[in-house]
Amino acid sequence: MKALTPSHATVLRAVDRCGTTVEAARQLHLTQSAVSKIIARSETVLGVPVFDRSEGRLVLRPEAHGLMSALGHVQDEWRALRGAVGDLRSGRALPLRIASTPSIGQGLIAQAIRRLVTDHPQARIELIMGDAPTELSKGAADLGVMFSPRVTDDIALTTFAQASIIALVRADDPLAHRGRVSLPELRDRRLICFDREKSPLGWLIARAHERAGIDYAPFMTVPYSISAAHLLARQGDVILIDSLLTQAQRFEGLVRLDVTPELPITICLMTVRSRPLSRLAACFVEILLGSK
Amino acid sequence: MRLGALQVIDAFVRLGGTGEAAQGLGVSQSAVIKSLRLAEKELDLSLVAIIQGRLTPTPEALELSRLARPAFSALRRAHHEADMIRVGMADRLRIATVPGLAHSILPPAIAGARSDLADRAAVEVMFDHVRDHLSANEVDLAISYGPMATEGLRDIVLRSSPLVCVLDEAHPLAAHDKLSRDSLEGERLVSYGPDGISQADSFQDALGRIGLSDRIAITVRHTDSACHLAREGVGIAVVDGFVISSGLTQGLAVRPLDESPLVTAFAHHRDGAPLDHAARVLLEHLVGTGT
Repeated sequence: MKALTPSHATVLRAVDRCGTTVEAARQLHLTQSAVSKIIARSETVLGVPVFDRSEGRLVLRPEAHGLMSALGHVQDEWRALRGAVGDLRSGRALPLRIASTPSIGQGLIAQAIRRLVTDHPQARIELIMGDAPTELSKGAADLGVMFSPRVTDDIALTTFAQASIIALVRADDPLAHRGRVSLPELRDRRLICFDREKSPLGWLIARAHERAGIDYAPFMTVPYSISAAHLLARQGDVILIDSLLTQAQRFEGLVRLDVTPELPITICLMTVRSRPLSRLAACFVEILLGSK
Repeated sequence: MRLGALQVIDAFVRLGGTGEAAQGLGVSQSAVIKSLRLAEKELDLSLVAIIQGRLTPTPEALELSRLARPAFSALRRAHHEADMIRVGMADRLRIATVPGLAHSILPPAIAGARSDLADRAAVEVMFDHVRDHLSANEVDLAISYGPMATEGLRDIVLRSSPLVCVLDEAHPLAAHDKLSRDSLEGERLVSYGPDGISQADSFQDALGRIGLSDRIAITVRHTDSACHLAREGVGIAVVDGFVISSGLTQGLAVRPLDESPLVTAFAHHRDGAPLDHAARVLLEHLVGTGT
C-alpha cells in the first residue's frame, strides 16, 4: 500500500483551512484538479474519508479532527527536517572535530581552518586538545593531527608536514645570540621538556640525547610545547620543543635556537580506516594535504 | 526532498548496507544505489562512502537518518489516527504510562471510569516515551513514578504506597508477616529498572533508600513479569504496593517490606487546555476519589 506523504498532509491541511479546493489550489500554486486528486489519493491511502462534501465546500468530518492535528505534526516535522538538511549541508549540524596538540592547532590547523571557513562560512568546528589517537579511537574526533604518533591498525597515517626540534632560551641567556646549539652544550642546563614515555617528541629527544652520550633528565616535563614556553622563567633554563610553536606564536623575551644536528619531526594526519569522513572533514583533509 | 528517498537512506543506515537495505525494502540493490546517488545530488549531501570495498553510510547519512525520525514518527501517527477512525475509536481517551504502573493502578481506574461513563469511552493505552507522547498531544493523560517538572505539563500526586515483596506461597519467607531488608539477604530479587522519564523516580528512590538498588538481580519492565518470576520461584519480586489491587498477585504471598519508604504515583497532563470529561473522570479514579 502506498504511504501518506508530507505533501499530502500539506494539501489536506490547506483544504481544511480554506474549505474549498479552488482556494487551497490557489494558495499552494497547484491546479484545482491536482488538489482534488491528492485528496482522493490521501483518503484511499488512509482508508477513511477525511472531508464531507456539502454545497461546494469540503468540511472536515467530526471524527477526523485528531487526524488533522496529526497531519499538522507531519507538516511541522517535515519543515524542521528541511531546515536541518540545510544545516547539514552548511556544516552547522555536524561539527568537524579535530584532535591535535596546541602547537599544531595554533599553526598548521589554524591556517587550514581559515581556508575551510572561507568556503564553508557556517561550518562548526571543534578543536580538541588531547591525545589524538585516543580521541579518534573513542569516536570523539573525526581527524587527528600529531607528531609521529604511535597508533593502532585501524588508524591511517598520512605525513603532510615536516618540522624540527628547537631550543628556546631567555633573551638574556649567553646562548641567545648564537642562533644554534648542540645537545652537548646543554648538558649542564636545566631542561624543560616532554616525558619520554608519554610523548613521541619526548621519545625522539631522549633518543637524541642517548646518541650524544648525555642523560635525558628534564627537571620539569610538560605535555605540550606551549606549556613549556610559558614555564621558562629562570635564566639558564632551556626548553626543547617543536618549531611549529614559534612559527605560530611570538614569545616576548624568548629566543629560538636551532638544534644541531637537526632533529627532524614529521606531522601526521590521522583518520580511522573503518569510518567514512563527512564532506566537511574531507574538505579539511584536502586543504591540509594540499598545503604539503 | 522526497519521502521515498528518505526511506531508502533510513533503511541504508539502519541495516548498514545497500544489499541489506534492498532486502529490507523489497527492491533491487541497484535501485537502492541509484536512489542514494539521486538523493546525494538533490540534497547536495555526501551520503555514501566506499570503505574497505563496501558502500557505507557517511556521518551525514547517519545524522540525516537520526533527524528524520520525528518526521517518520509523525507520519506513522497520522496513519494511526486514520486507523482509529476506521475502527470507530476517533473519540477516545488516550493514556501513556510507565510499564510499572500499567497493570496496577491503571486497569481498575479505567474500569471505574468506563463504568461511570456508561461504557461509552474508548481507551488507548500507550507505553513508554510518556513525556514525549504528552508534549506532542498524542495522549490526554500520563502516569509515572515522579514529577516531570516540565514547563507546560502539570504534575498531580495520585497516591503513595510502600514497597512490598511478592513471593511464592511455598517460599520459607512467606511464613513471616513482614520482611525486612536483612531478611532478603541472599535472596534473588526481581524489580523494575529506572523509568527514565520522571524527574525524580520515586520507585527507584525508595529502592535506593532502603538499600536494595544494587541488590536487584533481575530487572523487569512490567508488574506481571515480576509476579510470574515470583510464581516460578525464580526470586522475590520487590514492587510497589499498588500491585495488591491488580489481581496479579493471586496465588502469591504479598508481604510488606519493613520500614519501606513510600513510592508515589503521579498523573500528568498538558497545562492550559482543560481536560475533557472522560479524562477528568479517569483522573478522579486514579486519585481514588472516583465513584
